[in-house]
Amino acid sequence: MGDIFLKLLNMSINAGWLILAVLCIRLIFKKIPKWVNCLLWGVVAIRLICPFSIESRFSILPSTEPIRSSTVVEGEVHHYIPSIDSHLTIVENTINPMLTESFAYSESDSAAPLQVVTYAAGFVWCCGMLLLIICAVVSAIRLHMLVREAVRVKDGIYICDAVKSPFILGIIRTRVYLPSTLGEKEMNYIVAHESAHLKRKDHWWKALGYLLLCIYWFHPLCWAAYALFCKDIELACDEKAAKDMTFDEKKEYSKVLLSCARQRSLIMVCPLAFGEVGVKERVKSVLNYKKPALWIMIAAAAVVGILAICFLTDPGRETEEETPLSFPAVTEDPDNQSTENIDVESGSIENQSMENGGESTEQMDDRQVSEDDRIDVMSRFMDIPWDEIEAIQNVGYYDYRFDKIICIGEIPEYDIRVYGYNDEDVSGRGVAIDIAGDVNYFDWYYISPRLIMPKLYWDEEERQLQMTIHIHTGTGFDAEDLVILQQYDTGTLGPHYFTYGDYSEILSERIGYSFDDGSRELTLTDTVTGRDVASVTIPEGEIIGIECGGISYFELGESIKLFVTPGFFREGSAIPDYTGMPVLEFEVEYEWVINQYGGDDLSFGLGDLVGIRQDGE
Amino acid sequence: MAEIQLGVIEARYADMIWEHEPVTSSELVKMTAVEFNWKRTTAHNVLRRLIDKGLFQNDNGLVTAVISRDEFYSMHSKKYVEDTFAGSLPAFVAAFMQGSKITADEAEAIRRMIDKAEES
Repeated sequence: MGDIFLKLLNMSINAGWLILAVLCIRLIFKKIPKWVNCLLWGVVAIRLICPFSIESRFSILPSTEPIRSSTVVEGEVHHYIPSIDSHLTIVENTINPMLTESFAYSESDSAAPLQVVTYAAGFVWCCGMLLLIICAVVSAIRLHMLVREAVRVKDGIYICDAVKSPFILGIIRTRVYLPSTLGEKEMNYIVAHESAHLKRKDHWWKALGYLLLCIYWFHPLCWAAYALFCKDIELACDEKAAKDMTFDEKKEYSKVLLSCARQRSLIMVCPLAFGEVGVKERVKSVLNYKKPALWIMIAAAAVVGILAICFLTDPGRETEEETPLSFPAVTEDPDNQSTENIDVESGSIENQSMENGGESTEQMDDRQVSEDDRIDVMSRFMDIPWDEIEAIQNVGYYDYRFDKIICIGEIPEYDIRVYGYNDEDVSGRGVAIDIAGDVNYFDWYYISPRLIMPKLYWDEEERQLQMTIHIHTGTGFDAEDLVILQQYDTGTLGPHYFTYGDYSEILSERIGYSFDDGSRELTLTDTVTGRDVASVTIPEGEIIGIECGGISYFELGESIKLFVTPGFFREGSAIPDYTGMPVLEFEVEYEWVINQYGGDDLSFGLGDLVGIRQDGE
Repeated sequence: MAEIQLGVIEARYADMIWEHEPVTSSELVKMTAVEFNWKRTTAHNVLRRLIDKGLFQNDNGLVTAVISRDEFYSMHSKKYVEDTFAGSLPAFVAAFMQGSKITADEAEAIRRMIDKAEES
């Protein structure tokens, strides 16, 4: 509701300029036939109805979106902070900063002040609109009750005792109601006037105008526009009826106008009433009516055209650097069990899923994961009542064929427990992490047939959970993925991955080798320091390459270490050999960076080579 | 009694009742449906109003007149002469005849009326 109101507010501001222009034109060009005025109001109506518009250079409007729901501060887009889009430096320098200050909020707020304000405003607007609509409906009902006793005189023309002043009622079955006390001559003039209304379909336009007024009631110019529009309709009808009258007939018509105006006793909200609008002006207009010259008509058409182009088009959006935001989603308590990260950019709910490493050609399990599978498994997992999950006492993997939920890790001191799910269709997939009551679900594979449990480490200061996930297995393949989950104030965990694919890529550049055929020495070098790190004697075979990362594991803690055993390829063998190779110990470095979407990310890298363990050490 | 004002359509309805009375209310409904295109409820409502004004009465669905048509309109005429001509009948007749001539039959009828009125 708040968004709709904001959009309408912007539309009404732009329409307001147009209404002002129309008012000026009406004042300046008093001689234009009144039906041209009605066209002008038609342009206003189009502006109020169409939520979209064409952009053009000729647009006079100062801006497409006068009140924006976001502001740009030093190039960065802040959503939900209002700003006024005008081309006045005064506004930019004083009002906008004030707005930024008063609507400031922090990421952990559940709703920005602007959202609250627009929601409240939207609510008030809705109430006003409903009130106006109810007024019209009540009025229409009362009129219908009034004319129950009316009697038909001619097609569509009725007389009624209770009617004091003629009016038209009804949108579909439109009827003209006249007072029963009218003389025949008077009746003819009035019928001529009302018929003109019907021919011009005024009963529809006026109803449309009232509907627009209901929607835009908050804009004072709209009330002025509606009032003047009603007046113009009446005047235009007078003109149409008086077009073919002689001067004497016009005099008679004016007399009728006067007599009907005096008897006004009903206050009618909606339908077209004869005596409703400024009688003096109408009499003047009827008596002085002359058919307009051709040049006036052309000028009028030109004016309407120019007006349309200038005001129906928008000046065009300023290109903002729209950076998508991810909002920290609110974590609900475990009994509710559905937490998601909402990614504003894609507008979808992102299932946090791991990518299984790039070069793992030797995974024992080949699970085809289709999009449907992914959603199904996690939703089944989340359907399980939390008490069942909490009730699991043992940590460890007993029999993955039979245990639906297992506890795959815990840190009791911090009340941290990690659970894994075994779905009937897909086993070993689905992780739930419970940190002191805040539960997050992840769509990950967490185990391999080697049944190696995840390792956990909790950094209380940084509020980071480090976790290793051992899913890469195969011949000559035994590697873990590292994930660091950052806990936010809301309880959400944001995962950051350092996968086998990531570090093996880094290692392939980091570790160089050389092989001396004569001494049969394979020497490994650290390309960063340039120093040799280890030498291994290879008795036989031709060395065609090395591999780094296939055998590796992490040690978690305040500083994370990655232990890698490189392997070498002999010619003719597709599988690396690790015999006699040392274990290289790297420091894992990670730091916060801004990613391509403007969000925070942990960037991983390999730091110093801090240790080398040869066989036997 | 002369204060009773009838709207144009009410008057037409009253005339209809005077013409056909005594008449059942359901008959009236049928007649107004034809003549005015009124719904049943509308016919009843207007009848109710006329009854309240003292013109008619409804006895178990049978509608009869309390005041006859002549009575009613004569009251109105009297009231009109009172209000407009200060009760002066000659003034009224003079105004009525302004510029028009009466036929021999009309003159005869008037003379007879005057004679009768003088006697009583």
